[in-house]
Amino acid sequence: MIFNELTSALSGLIDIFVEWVEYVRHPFLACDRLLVDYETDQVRLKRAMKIWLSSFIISVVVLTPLYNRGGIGLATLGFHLSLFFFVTLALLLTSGAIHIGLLWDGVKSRFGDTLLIYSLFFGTFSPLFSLLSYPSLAILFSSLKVSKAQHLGSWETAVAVSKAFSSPSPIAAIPLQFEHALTVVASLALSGMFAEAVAKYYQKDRHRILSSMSFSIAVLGIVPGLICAWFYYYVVFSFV
Amino acid sequence: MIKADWRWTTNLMLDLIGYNLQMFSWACFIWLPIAIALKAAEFGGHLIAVVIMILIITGFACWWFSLGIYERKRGRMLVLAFFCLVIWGWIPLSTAFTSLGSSKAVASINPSPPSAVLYAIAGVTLLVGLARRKTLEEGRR
Repeated sequence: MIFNELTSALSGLIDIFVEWVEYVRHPFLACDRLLVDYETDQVRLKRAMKIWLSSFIISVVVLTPLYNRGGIGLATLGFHLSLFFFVTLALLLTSGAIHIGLLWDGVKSRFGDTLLIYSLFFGTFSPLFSLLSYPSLAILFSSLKVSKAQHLGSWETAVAVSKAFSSPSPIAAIPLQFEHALTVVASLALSGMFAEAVAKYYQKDRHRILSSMSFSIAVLGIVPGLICAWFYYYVVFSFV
Repeated sequence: MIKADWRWTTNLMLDLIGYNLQMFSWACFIWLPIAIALKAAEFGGHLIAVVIMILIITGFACWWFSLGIYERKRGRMLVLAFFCLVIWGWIPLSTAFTSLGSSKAVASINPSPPSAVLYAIAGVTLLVGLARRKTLEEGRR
């Protein structure tokens, strides 16, 4: 009985994984196919959420050893659901900001299309970012544990965490530097790929799309991004 | 189908340098002045006004450079400005940011070895962009 349950759970996970590998291998082809196959806005939104969910599940699996170190198991559903809600909110707000930026720049963007392309590129590759974030998450969890042991409040803990990041131990500093540099490279490469796909779909120049994206991310996306980051921190703080 | 040859890749990298410059411009226009204005009580209004003016001028300069990556004159100036900033700008900029009390800013400006590799790649991309500007501009979309 247990074996059957395990097999069905694993086969579901394998389906998700195979679909994800296909998107990672051919993101541009997958983007073209999805935009043709799914015609209405509602269906595209659902599809975008499905892509995002499968990437989130892979990210959770990738981060499980680290979560376990922080005392959060795979079965802590409250933590994973809260995290999923805030990360999805960040996805919706960021793609909404890009959509508004494109509209202001005269590109006839549709929210469903932009969200689908955004979740395909940034969602699909988000497990990679989870893997890259191991050093910073390790510092976050260890400083949260220390603060909790000292019974500090949420604000004092935030100050302690920021101190831990600004002056890490010499052993932690090197992985942090690599994480920073690789995250910059990966996010820039993804931004370029995303801009290429959007430019192709809306038939505009790529540098024009990047120009409106710079406004969307640097102006419209900052405040919602900070709010979501704060909620993310608070969820982690509550469960560690 | 995208043909990811050297021309496409260099074009993409140059566009991304322009994208970064524009992001920095928006930060100079909006967020950095707000962050610095919050320090007004500590440093005095006149000093803060001068710093904000410099930031806005820097923002316009970055925007101007980002629009002229494929032009010969502006491309040369951008390469020069980039290397000046990387080589000589380190210490004064770090000191300036430290005096404003932002240790995070210093962390992002000081080059760790991996970041230094990124700066080197950006410098080489700008040089290639300048040297092969006509060929690259033909393939630009």
